[in-house]
Amino acid sequence: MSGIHHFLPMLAKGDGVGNNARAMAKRLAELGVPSRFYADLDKAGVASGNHLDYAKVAEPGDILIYHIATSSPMTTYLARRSEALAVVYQNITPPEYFAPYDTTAAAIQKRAQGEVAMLAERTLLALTPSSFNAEDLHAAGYSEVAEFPIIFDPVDFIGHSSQAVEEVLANLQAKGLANWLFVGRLVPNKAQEHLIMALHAHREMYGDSAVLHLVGRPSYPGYVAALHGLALELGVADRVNFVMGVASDELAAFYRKSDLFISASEHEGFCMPIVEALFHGLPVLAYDAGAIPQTLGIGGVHLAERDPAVLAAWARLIATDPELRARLRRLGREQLSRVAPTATIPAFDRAVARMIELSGSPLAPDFEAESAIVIQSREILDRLSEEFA
Amino acid sequence: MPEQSMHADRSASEEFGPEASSGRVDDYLAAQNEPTAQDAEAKAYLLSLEKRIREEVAHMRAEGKYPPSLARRVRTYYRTLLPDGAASGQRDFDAIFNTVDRIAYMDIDVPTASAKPGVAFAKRALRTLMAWYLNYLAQQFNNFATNLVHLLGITDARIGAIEARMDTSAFRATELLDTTASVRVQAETSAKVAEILSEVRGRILVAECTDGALLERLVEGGLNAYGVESRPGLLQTAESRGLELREAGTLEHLASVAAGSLSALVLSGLVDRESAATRVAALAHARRVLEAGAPLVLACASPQAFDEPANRVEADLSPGRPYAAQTWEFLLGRLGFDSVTIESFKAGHYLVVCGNARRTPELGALADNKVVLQALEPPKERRR
Repeated sequence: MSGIHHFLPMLAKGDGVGNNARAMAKRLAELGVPSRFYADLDKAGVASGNHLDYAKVAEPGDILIYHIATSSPMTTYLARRSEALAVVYQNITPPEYFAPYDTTAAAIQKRAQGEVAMLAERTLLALTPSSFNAEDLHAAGYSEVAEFPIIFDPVDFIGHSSQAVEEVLANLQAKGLANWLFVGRLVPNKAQEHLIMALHAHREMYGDSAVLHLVGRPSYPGYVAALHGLALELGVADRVNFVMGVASDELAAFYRKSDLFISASEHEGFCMPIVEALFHGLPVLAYDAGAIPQTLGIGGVHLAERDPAVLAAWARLIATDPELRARLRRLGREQLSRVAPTATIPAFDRAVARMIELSGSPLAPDFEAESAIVIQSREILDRLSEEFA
Repeated sequence: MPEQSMHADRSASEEFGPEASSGRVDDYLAAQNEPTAQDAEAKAYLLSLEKRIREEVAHMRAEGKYPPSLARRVRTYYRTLLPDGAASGQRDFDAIFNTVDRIAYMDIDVPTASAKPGVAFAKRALRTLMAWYLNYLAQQFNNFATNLVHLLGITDARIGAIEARMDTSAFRATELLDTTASVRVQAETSAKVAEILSEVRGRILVAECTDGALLERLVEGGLNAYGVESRPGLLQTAESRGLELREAGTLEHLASVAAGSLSALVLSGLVDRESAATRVAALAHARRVLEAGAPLVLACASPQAFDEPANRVEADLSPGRPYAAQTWEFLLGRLGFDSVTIESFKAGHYLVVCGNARRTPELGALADNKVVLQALEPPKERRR
């Protein structure tokens, strides 16, 4: 029986690309469409094999979805196959960000950009979570591009919160220090140096009254060393907390107990941590970059210009003004409803219908089928609304 | 985005296709982001706070708590911490060149030590047996690499010589052109700029703002304007007027401003004295940072005004010369601006005013494309 099958270079739990693919597969199962994963590196243990294994079970009328995230031999494999192809593109970070730190990583990114273009003619429909990414796809020659946010399962955001971390953050607050949180890998395109500069500006303007928690794994020692060096030189090293790897309960505690989520990222294809911050009712303050204005929408403060003093002043206001915090939580809740599965699952259904129409596949999904993620999301969002109100 | 259910009786193309097809992608995206009443209210609320923040920052800066010059020093210091190639400069080129020179050599003397019994002996034996073969390969590689590095060195020297003669990047002329010499926007021109922008409600940037006279006039007119200036002396004068300022080069600052976030842009100074590539890069940035339909104002000097004795130092040290108004008209038209008008003033000054036309997806991608912008930028100051 034909189906819609997913190809991913790597499939792992907790990974944005993998989570999106799993949510899509879950919905396809509800629609009555068979769906399998093919991953060259399967850390989640759910793949049916690597990409070469697909040929053994290929069926006429199959539709293949390639979740392109990095350079992979899958690209040439899929380019040569005859099945209908759709591409999910969550962005390829430009190689120039990595080149000074890791030439190999930069070369892989460069190759990945080329591979995105390689599939343009062959792809019936490209799916992407932001208009920022859509521009990449148009530039690469894709003819039909549809846009909807990454599908997430709100259940993934709900879990036990680490008491130890909550206590640490509460102690800092008790000492008069606001907790600024950023979650994301320590990589040059996330531009954590701008957050350190803002923390320094904050100290110059308002005194020693904030701590910056940078939660994320390091990728390049040179970049981390530069961040450390900057914090030391500016005299804020004791107020920058590098948290290089956290358990899920610790991460939940950071989201729940921080005073604001602050981002200076320069390049984002979607930025799921912002969605997670909105989910936890954490006010979000960010420089406009890439897809951030679209992901954050009305749910937070986004600044058009990079100015550490202005970022610091906003952070100060958000941390100290209860009315503003309450208002931002309400706006965040509204924005969350626009990117939640209640909105994204119907969009995905439409994408599936379009793929079938374009490919002529005999698949006949039951679009009336209820979505478990949507039902759960609705319950959770309603509960959050009451809590935020 | 309102929730929509899937209707089995409607075809997929009705549901999804037309909106998503390439020809109508703009409409599709616009529909996704169609503002609601709540959006407008939220925007108004945040704008009111933005005003408060701006005043607070200006007040703090006036008190000397975080002056623009400190922000620039911090950025400059951070660049010194970055690895080779992460910052532009001759230091990076030299360091990378030396690294390439050092590693462009294949050593066939393979380490043979091992903690495992017998393995070291086996390794030594293999090395000896294969030495003739590896030697042959290594000679070819080393010959190739040595010549390649030599060629790079010659190329570097030749490019350096060309750049030194061109005067465009041997030094930054603006660094020498502090308070002593600069073509200022004349009072009459300032009055006209203030009149043109009087209805603008959003953010206005004046770059370069020199001593802040024009900027002050705009702010006094109730406009939300700020300035950019890289020359410390002029910046200090502007700061004394209590204006909102950034210490940065015009291109450097424009690169850090988000797309579509400015409601008007006034360019001066750079439009008279910089190289053609810098001027075009500034226009490309303007296209990106201005809202659709927002005005771009170029406050220009004629070649005669530029050569007046008061401006002689600036004229002599600058890599470029002022353009005739027709040249601006041509460039602006090519880069997608519309409604270009030119108004002349006495003493050889003139204003070019135009609108940032709504862009097609293709042009939007072009204007936002970093590669294009980088290609337009002047050569980095990286020569000996």
